[in-house]
Amino acid sequence: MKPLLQTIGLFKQFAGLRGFGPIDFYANPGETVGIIGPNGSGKTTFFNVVTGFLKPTSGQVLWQDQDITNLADYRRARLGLVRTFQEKMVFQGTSVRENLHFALIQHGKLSIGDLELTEVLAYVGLPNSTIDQKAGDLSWGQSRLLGMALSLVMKPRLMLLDEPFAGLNRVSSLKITNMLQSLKKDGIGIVIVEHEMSLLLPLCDRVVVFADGQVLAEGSNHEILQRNDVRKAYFGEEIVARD
Amino acid sequence: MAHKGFSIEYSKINAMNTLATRISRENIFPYLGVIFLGFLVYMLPLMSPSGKVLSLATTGLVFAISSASLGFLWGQCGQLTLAHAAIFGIGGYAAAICAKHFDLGFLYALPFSIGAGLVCGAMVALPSLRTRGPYFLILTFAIGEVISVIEMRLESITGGINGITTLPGTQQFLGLHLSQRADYYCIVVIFATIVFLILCGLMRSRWGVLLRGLRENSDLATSLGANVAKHRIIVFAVSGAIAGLAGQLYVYHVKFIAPELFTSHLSIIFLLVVLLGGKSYLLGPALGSLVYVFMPEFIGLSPILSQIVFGALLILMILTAPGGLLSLINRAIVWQKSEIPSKDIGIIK
Repeated sequence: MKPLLQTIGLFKQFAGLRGFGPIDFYANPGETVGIIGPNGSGKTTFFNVVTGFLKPTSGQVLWQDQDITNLADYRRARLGLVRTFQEKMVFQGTSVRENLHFALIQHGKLSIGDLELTEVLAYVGLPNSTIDQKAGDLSWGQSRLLGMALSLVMKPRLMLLDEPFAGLNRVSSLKITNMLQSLKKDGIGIVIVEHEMSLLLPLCDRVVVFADGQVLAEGSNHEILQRNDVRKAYFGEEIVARD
Repeated sequence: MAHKGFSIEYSKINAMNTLATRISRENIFPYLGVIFLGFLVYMLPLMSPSGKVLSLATTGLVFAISSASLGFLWGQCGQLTLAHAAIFGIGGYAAAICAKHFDLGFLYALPFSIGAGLVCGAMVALPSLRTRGPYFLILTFAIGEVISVIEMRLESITGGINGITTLPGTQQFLGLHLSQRADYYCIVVIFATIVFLILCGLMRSRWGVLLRGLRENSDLATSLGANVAKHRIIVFAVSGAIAGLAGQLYVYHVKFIAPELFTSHLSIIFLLVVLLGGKSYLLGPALGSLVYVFMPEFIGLSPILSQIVFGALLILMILTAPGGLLSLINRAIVWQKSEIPSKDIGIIK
């Protein structure tokens, strides 16, 4: 299968400090890939480089075998390479309606009816009553759902989700999980950076472990959890020692 | 719909529903409101005001146009600049140079003053693509100062520190005499109404939605496919073009132009005026401008004391209503409406 996204020797350095790399990575259509690793291992920086928010020091980013290393960030989004953020999830100062208008306009809609907005809200599990609410007044969980809605309106082919379960309660987490499972069935590729292993692992076809800016291990959920070096890097020495 | 997960097809949206949305009363009211206000202001000369009041009203309206363009930039796109007075001045210089060196009248100078403002506005936008917040603000301050120095140094064209004196002579515009105070006031009202109608249209357009998105979160906007750089340059250009127009109107009003009129001090006044009226509102800067221009007259204080009172008013506003004077009115309306039990906020009907 031809990968949707591929990185070859992707490397990022900040004034002498290594961000990550070199990293070879791929994500196939309809595949859910989890990226785990301790804080500071370069996961979010990797997302930033892949989506064009940061320029790589060296290496290549390929989208369906086409080199997009020098393609502008917004053009990558238009290809269907859509990302979410840990915190900057929504346009806080505007209403939920205007948030969705923004994404729909970006998607090329000339006129937008309430019917479409209602449908989008229903899909992500946000109540209709939030439509005229200021996005900044939504709860954290609702903001996450709205952030997902904005990304989905863009008709993504590959979604890069940066800690989608962070700060969510069980109900909201379940909503996101169900949504991601549904997206996977629709053939959309998903790459998730997440610390909440109990939520992440059941979703993933493959897990990539980052440590010190490099890929430490890669494999199925089961394979990854069996590896001592992964447990040591991710959970720390003490837990490994108890095992 | 676009996404497989959504069942609805965009193409099947009820066309009548869309049409009804486009021409709904809600959409037309703001434009009618602007025209009605413009009409009311246009009628001022019928009340036989003194020359001083007419002159102040003209200045207030010119300031309203200029600060509205800054309000559009700041309130809608979140970009704060201290080069606005310089661009306002460039528009004025374009008109004065057209008159002095090329013998071009008011009408023929318009494309030059608007064009000069547009180009300079777009150029000011360029640093905003690489810098943010206070760094960008300092850069725009420097740009304003550089423009001021250039205006002083190019003596053969700008008249240097002595500036240029322009006299409208017997020129007419739409049958109104530029040299007559009341007529010129009416000309400024016409331009102000057009500018506010344009800004109203832009704020309510799809582009307005994009600009507010850029203001709120440019990274998220980019991740949703928005070309932030392009939109930012365009919004600066639009704002600059309007400031350039205001500059020409100002020069034909005061009949004189010199670099000292357009220093960063004036930029700060424009900012304060926008803040006072309310940067998020179309008419906020206009209200702020009129308060700034007329307040000293009403209070009857010396210019220095008036500045102190204006400063105190601003501090009070920032502490109690950071959204400006119009936010107070808006708050009162919302408060009044919230007393109505049948109001179902957020329910789609």
